Amino acid sequence: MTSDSPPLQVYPLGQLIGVRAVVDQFDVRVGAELHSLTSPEFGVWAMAHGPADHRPRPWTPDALAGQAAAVGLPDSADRLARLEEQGLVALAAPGTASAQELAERVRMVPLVLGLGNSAEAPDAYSVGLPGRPLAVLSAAAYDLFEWAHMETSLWRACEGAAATAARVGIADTTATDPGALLTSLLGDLHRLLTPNAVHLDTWAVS
Amino acid sequence: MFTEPLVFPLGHPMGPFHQHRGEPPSYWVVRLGWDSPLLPDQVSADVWTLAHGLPDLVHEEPWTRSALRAAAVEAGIHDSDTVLDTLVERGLVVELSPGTEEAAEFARTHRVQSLLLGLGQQPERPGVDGIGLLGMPALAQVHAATYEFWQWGHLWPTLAEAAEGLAEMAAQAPQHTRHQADPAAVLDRLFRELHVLLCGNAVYLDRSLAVADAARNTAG
Repeated sequence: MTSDSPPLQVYPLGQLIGVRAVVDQFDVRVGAELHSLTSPEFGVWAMAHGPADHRPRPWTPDALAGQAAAVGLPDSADRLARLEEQGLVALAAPGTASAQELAERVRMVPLVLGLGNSAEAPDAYSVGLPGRPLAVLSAAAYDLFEWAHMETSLWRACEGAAATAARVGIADTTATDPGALLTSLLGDLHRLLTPNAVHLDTWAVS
Repeated sequence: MFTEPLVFPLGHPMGPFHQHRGEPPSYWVVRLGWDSPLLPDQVSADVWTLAHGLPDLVHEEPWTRSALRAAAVEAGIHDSDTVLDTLVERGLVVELSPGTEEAAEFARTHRVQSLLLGLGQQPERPGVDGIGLLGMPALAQVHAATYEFWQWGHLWPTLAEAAEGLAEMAAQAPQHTRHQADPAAVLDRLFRELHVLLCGNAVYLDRSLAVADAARNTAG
């Protein structure tokens, strides 16, 4: 690996479906499986969603470890490795084979609504809840927010979006190349994961 | 006795679309199956949103055309019936009476998709679970059976299969009632409690993928 290689980033899988803090239990669903996490395990899984300060940067295992140390959460590297073994976290470097491998086994599923664009900024699309935008997206990323979960994998969704872009004559190769679309999405995905605007899941409804 | 049907909105809202800077929206977008039907004006968008129910009312009142009409009048919309008729014709709203063959057929051809996070039991409300986002009040507060439907219902291809699956899960519990293990009774309950989830945007209804794919192939 050269120093120019994109770094591996941390991506959480699953949807939080139950908090029972009094008994130190946090339930996360991935596909049809339920995982019960303790508070420190949940802390690391929650941190995998992205930087707490919302300052965009590659969300690497080291960056996560730094944030965990800053809040006094011990053994975050071991916990992260354990979460990866359980399928609750994945490591992937956007633009590399690891990113495609991740995209082939997960779906990106919205947890909130599309809020559309605005008269002030018609090129910017928000997602969130009524009156509470959580993230602003480009038209291409909003398109994936709207449609990607209909496909059996995030990779298929990128292939579909790229084919549609090519069919309607978009010249920008970032929009017509599924790999470029995926790289752009994964490079920026923590901005959607942190406020729980989307989650990554493994289940494909048939 | 005539029982007024319940009204249910279909699709995942995608908000207004402004074609030009500084101008009002050209239309509002809903994603439904592989289609994105457009709502042409604010009133259509408002009536479609009202079909989800109002959080202060859905616990007490079946969400029917009459309930929607009263809420619409409160919001200054005086012709909600005409708008609702158009939404029903376009398949963006459905009127169903739980327990009828129409409701069963709808359940065989549609699915639910969950949104938001499970927040667990609500403080000072034993037996009531919250659904929402972290750091804000719950957007839906529901009893255990509805929470279970929110958690797992979207993993089945259709509402009918979800009702069967949830009935099967209930039957495995040592203490369960006959109703909890009866798929038809479970489906009835799902329909009657759905607005509690819909009005908080904790779920939306969609075509089953089989139906969506068939419509896409016909169109394509």
